[in-house]
Amino acid sequence: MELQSSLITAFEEILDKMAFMVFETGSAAQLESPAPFEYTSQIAFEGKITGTLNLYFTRCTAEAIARNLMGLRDGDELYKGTVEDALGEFANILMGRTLSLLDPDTAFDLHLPVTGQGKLPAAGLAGQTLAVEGILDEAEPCLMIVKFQS
Amino acid sequence: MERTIAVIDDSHTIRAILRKAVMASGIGAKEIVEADNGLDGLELIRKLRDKLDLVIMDLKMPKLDGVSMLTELRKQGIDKVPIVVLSSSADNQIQATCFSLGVKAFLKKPFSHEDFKSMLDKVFPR
Repeated sequence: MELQSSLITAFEEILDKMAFMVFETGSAAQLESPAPFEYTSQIAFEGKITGTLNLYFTRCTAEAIARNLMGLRDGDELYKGTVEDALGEFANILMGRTLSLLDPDTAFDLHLPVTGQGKLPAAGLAGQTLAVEGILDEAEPCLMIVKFQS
Repeated sequence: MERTIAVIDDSHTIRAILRKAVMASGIGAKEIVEADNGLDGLELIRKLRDKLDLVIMDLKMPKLDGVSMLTELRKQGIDKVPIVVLSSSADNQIQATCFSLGVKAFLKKPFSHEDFKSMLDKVFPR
């Protein structure tokens, strides 16, 4: 599998199994007034290919992912740290699964994920860039950028 | 049956996911004990070795990584508690090492509640 298809397959698997959301690739321009990205999660990886995955989410998506991953109900309080921790783990699972789909026989090293508020500049090595844009649950834009060298 | 389960993972989110999965699985969990690093995890298992029914653990953890923790458990003769390793990226070689150190099953992330139940069926066959 290539990086792009591995990334999309892994993303859909996590959303389906753990976050209960649906993803479709496509431009946010098709949405009437797309919400801005308010969270960025980044995770660096090393191995046969080396680089960084950057994930961008709207506030609504970030909070929904955290709630669904952790099984929180609507009335349960959601702290900023909880959302950041959940998004970091999401990035960790996503990159781990992506690399395992890409090459199940090769060891990759995943660094600790970093999550921040706002749309942070994409981190990673100067080299190739893969960008996947899409819509979650037919309403919220999301963006994945991988900057890497192989 | 009432069971005591240890969850050892440095991610607060994963520990919460596992708590939820254990409670929803119908395994009969009486108590879920937790550690957020390998060293504390080792100590927890050592202390509760006669009480634990299952350990679910990560491989990449601070203070002591999962493989070192498993090696240490083996050295100390703690081999009766079933251990399940949680991983999203373990390659075949690491998996083989874990199995040689007595690991009962791998639970690959991402996992659904159904995947979790299938793993439990492997560990506790009816």
